[in-house]
Amino acid sequence: MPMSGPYGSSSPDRSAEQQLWARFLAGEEPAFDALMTTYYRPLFRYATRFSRDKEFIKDCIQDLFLYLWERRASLRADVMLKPYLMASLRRYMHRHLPGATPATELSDDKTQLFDFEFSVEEQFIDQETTFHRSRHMQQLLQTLPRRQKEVVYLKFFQEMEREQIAEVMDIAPQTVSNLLQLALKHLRQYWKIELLTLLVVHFNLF
Amino acid sequence: MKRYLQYRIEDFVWDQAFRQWVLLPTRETDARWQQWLAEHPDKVALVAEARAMVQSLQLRELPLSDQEIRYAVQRTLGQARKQQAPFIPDADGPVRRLPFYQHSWFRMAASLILIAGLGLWAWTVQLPSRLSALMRPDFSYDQLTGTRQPMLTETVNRTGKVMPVKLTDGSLVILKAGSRISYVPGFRSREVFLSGEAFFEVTKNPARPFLIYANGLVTKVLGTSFLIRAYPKDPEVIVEVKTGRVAVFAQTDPQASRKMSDRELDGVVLTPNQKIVFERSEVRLSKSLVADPQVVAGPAQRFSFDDTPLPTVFATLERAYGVDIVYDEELLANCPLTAELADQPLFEKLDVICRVIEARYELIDGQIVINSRGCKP
Repeated sequence: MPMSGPYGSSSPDRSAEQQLWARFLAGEEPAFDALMTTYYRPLFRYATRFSRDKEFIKDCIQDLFLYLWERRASLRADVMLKPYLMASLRRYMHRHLPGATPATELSDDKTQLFDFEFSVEEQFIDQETTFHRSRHMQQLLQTLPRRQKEVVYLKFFQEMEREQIAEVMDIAPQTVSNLLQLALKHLRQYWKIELLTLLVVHFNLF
Repeated sequence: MKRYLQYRIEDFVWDQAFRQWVLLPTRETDARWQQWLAEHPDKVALVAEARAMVQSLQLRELPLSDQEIRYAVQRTLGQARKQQAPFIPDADGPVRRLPFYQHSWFRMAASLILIAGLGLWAWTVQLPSRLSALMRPDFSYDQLTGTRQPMLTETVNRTGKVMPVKLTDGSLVILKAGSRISYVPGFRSREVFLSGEAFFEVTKNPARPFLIYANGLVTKVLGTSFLIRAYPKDPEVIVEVKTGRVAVFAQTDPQASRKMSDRELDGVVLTPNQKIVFERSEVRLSKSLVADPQVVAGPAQRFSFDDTPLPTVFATLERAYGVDIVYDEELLANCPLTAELADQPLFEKLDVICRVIEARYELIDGQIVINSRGCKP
């Protein structure tokens, strides 16, 4: 597959990332360009969990970068860039989502804004059984509690480390590990049950 | 890699190293996994299935092309340049004795003068633009439709979803949520006023051109399909052509009325996969390609090249996408390309080709321009 597949945006290594951020803070326009280009797709993908309005997301990302650029003199140099940008975007979007009030800000537990939709892309599948299994995995993912789902998403679909996930979700690293363990346990446990029922269904049918 | 011997399918699916090999393979990881599979042939089927599962399980994404990203970044950079505050030196160093300019009486007087000066400056600087705003005709939707006699028929899409609107001449308008169109009752003249975004499929009738007015931009068609984005608050109007040809020109164009009634397509003519951006404040039109050019109708293309000379490759792409590709024919005549480019969008196809011949491409005025120094001997 070409470089820009759905997962083609792995983050650059730490030191290059830090240099880029330092140059951004120093007010270099090429760094602005490179930074925004590098992180646009991961930020956009993350933002689609809060809104399905493409133009709104684009506006938010634009405003976020303009805001950072304007305040660059007062920003910290030693941040973990990707989680920092994602957390900032999340806060910004929550404040500006239609119907958001200062009270709903950040309290997404109540507002249920975090909306994942997993899908099964059939072009990768050439066997019926694989398709069924993928569908089962998808449905299992869908049944995960919201925070577990978010951890799974950040870990496996944004390829983030434990510390980075903690930063984005604003929780302790240990909590990340706990949530991840719970999620994987849930996925494995129900996977077996589902598999059994799948077999039973098959035997009944044939 | 011992632990993988015990793995069941779900363990593979949620193993980070495995996922990385499937989704972002490197030469090293690929070699390692291929070797492991060679040593454990009984695991081949299991791994193949886990692979398919990892690949197929995705998050439902909104489509976003690289072109869209490039455009968004450029736009943001432009905004950032505009905002760039003038350089303000930091606060003064330690002060021993107050110089005259730091006494309060001086400061007060100075600020009064400054305020008066700023006021005068703002007044003089803004006056021309205010005057021109007064004199510039207003081509907004409300202005255009409000003054028409007899009253126009208006369709407003309040459904929150896209809404198809069938016009009496057989043309179809797919109206985006929150957008509106107006036209003469019964659609006796093929004229539509648009506020917002809509996709048009216009029935062919060369004798009666179809005109769309959108924020000062006139789009004229004889029969084709295309998209117009003209929200009241947007500083620009965008027209993207899917099939056929359309002409666009500003409503302020001195020859606008002739261009509208002609049976010819005057003005800037757009062909499939081209788009125009109309800057409302500057009445400027700039042509480019749409974000993700689609194959235009015609015989199915396979885009599989085997030692094919580049000019032939480019000719194939030009035909398939209806785009112009500009390159030095002499320089590239002897460069062969072997590649399978069936499934990528056009710009990714170009990326692959350019990587092979160590070239770059640019979009200039709706054309693709290849910059190359020829292929290696």
